[in-house]
Amino acid sequence: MTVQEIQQLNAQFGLNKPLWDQFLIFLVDVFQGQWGLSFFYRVPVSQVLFVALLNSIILLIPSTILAIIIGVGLGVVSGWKRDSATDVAILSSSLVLYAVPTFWLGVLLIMLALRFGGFPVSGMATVGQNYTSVWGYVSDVLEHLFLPTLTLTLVTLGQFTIIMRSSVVSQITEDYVVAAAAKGLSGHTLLRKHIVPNAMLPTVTIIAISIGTVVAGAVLTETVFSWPGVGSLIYDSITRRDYPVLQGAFLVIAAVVILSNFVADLVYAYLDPRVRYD
Amino acid sequence: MSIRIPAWKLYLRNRKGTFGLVLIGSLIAIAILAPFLSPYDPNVIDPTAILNPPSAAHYLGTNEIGEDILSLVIWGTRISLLVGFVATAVAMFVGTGVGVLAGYAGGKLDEVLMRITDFFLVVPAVVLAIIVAALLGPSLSNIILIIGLLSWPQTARVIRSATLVWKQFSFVDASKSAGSSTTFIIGKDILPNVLPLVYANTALTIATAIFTQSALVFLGVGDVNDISWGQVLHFAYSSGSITAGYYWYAIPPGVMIILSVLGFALVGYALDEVLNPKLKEGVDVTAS
Amino acid sequence: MSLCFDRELTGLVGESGSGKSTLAYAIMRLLPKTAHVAGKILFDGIDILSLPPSQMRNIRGKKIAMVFQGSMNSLDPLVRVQDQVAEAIMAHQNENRGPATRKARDVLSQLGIPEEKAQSYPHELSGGLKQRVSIASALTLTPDLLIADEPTTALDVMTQAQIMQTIREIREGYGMSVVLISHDIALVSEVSDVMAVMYAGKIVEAGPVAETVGSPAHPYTVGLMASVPSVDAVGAEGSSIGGDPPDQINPIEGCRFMPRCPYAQAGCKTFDSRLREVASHHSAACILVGGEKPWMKQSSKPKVY
Repeated sequence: MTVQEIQQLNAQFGLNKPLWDQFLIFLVDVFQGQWGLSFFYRVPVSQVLFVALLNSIILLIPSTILAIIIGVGLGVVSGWKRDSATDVAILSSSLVLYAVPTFWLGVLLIMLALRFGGFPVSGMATVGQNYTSVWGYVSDVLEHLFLPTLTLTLVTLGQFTIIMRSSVVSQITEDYVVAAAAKGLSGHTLLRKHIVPNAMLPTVTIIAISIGTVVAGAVLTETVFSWPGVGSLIYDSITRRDYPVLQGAFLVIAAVVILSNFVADLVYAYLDPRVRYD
Repeated sequence: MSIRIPAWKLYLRNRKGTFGLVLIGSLIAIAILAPFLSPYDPNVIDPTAILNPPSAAHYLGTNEIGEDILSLVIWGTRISLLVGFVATAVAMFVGTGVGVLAGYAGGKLDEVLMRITDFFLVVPAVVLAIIVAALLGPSLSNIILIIGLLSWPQTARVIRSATLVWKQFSFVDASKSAGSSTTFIIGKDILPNVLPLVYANTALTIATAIFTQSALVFLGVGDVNDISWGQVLHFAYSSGSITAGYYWYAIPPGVMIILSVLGFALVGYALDEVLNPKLKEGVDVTAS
Repeated sequence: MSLCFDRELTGLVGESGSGKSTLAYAIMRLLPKTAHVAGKILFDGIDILSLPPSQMRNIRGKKIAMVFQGSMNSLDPLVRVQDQVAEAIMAHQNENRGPATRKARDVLSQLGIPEEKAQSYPHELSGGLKQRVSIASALTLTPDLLIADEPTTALDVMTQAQIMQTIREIREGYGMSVVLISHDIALVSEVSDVMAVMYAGKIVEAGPVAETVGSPAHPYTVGLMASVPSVDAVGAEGSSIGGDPPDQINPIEGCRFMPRCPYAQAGCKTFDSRLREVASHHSAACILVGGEKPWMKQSSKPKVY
């Protein structure tokens, strides 16, 4: 490029201005929704990200919800029956699940699926397929969704089980639980009315902090299964050196995590009357 | 009144913790004894034995360029564990420093440090690591630094809370009025009491560091030239061996990662149980 | 260990760790599975230790009720106060939530908690009120036996008096037996009919409160009484019992108080720690029972330990 062209580009992108100014311009742009242009796709970053984000959410939401439900459920059983055979079994499996690397589980499932058939192993929908109805498309996506969701759910739920179990175990010897038992309540009622509601409080907080890990897991899962979400986008953009997209993706992820923390705070306030009146 | 049992004895009574220690010990032994344990030089290529399934000659089979997978996995222990330990050391160092500083100093400094810490806590470390590694380049020291710098916030938080608690105790005030310097107070009064809380955290950090390293290398963002478990998986995936169904390539490194993460996680949880007991003794409602 | 509660207010005193709460939990059958309970606990003639869990649940709360120490934590912070009382009602009587809650509010107002406060959450109430809520849920089904484990610790003296008054009134109302567990000897000697003293997991003396306090039959009791500061002797130093607390994990053979007892003899090492009768309804587990009491020989000031 000629010197003139370079100068022109510099002016166009504001690269001549002092660093601080550039940062401010960046902030303003971000808030106005102007996230720059993708080097690779030549379309606004926000456009690229929006689609990817949607796809990621389709993967994230069911996995997280399933992981929470199963994890919390198992945690309660395990905590209540502390040190029994059931507890040991659940705790060991949860620890192993926690230790399993996300991408490795994905790889394993891919191998199994390819060997035994059943579920597609890559992408979000079958390429080049003509759909006769909306349902046809949806069921195709669901089929593609199965393995990634399975992977992400399994990898996440181990952690949640361990956390909930620990919480339940601390609750069982709390004074008010003993007092409730002294009233003659059955174990079942104790769990339902006193132990689980109280045990959920620290669990919600920790789950909120763990959302970051879930997102990281999603990134890895998407990459392995070529699921076209933000994770895959990050991976591809690295190889393509598409920095604007990387930047935008990072912002999106940070926003998602902050948002879910906020939601978790709201949920916590709903659950704990002591917090509400602040 | 209760009998004082030394902490390490209590620890050994905990089955989980002992099992974890055994796992870690074995892995460290493998790393150190790699030259003796590995049947082949891992870099030796045998063009006649490409993608062979496990056999008497190659217990875990061979990869697409004819390297022995068992040897690769044994040698891979070194880098995988090394990164785990060193990165955690960095994280502990920075984290403890920041935590004690924030907790002891309080005020504005505390606020600022905590905001920074919160930011790092909230954003998923792996994602950040990927992006930073992509920008900075995949050398070993870069990876170690990145993982270390992304793991310190958790430690900082824990240490800060502990410092706040210990700061209240009167012997600190006594030291202050005796005119001891701040460094002395921190070193003698606060640090020794705060560190035990960190041990459990350290073990879990090592577990996460090992995982993060393997993830980064798997994605190609870390150094794919050094033999590590993540690296073996990276080539397993990128060479298409997975989709072709050569399972013996992918399974061993994964199992090693599982064992090491499991080992450290068990140690971490056991330490937590032993050092921070949550149970009240003497009553049990589950019989009702 | 051998105690009998018959419509009296029995005060159970002892140091921390003497086993008072454990005794209470044993009666309620809430001990951990690792605990071993030998002997019988007879309630209305039935050995409740042999009951299946479902029947024991019928007894808990309805026939035998317990109030706990530390109003701080005996109430579930997430549940409204009236619901916690109603819970006891719904567990034992086939009532729906509506009528049960109404009954709960009645009981609460009888105990001085007005309707507006009945709907509060525990953290909105003061310590004294919270303790009354605990008492309400224990008493609402008119149990035959009430075990109160340190019910007034951490409360101010005024509230303490009010609560003890309430318990007394209700007891007199329909003849409930009460076991008052406390380390506050002054309080116990004021309100009890019977006093039982525990040490190192065993009952060392039990009898009508006037006798037990006035002419104790066990050296530990003597020491306890001496250690209570009295308003008359303002300025005088209270005495204390020397020595270390008992080892709970490896209890010693024979009389467990022996290491700290100034009247110990050779025979104490093989003492069977059973209660011996001192007078009618008054017994003590000491080798000296039946003979002279060495602590009475001195001047009216008991021996400094």
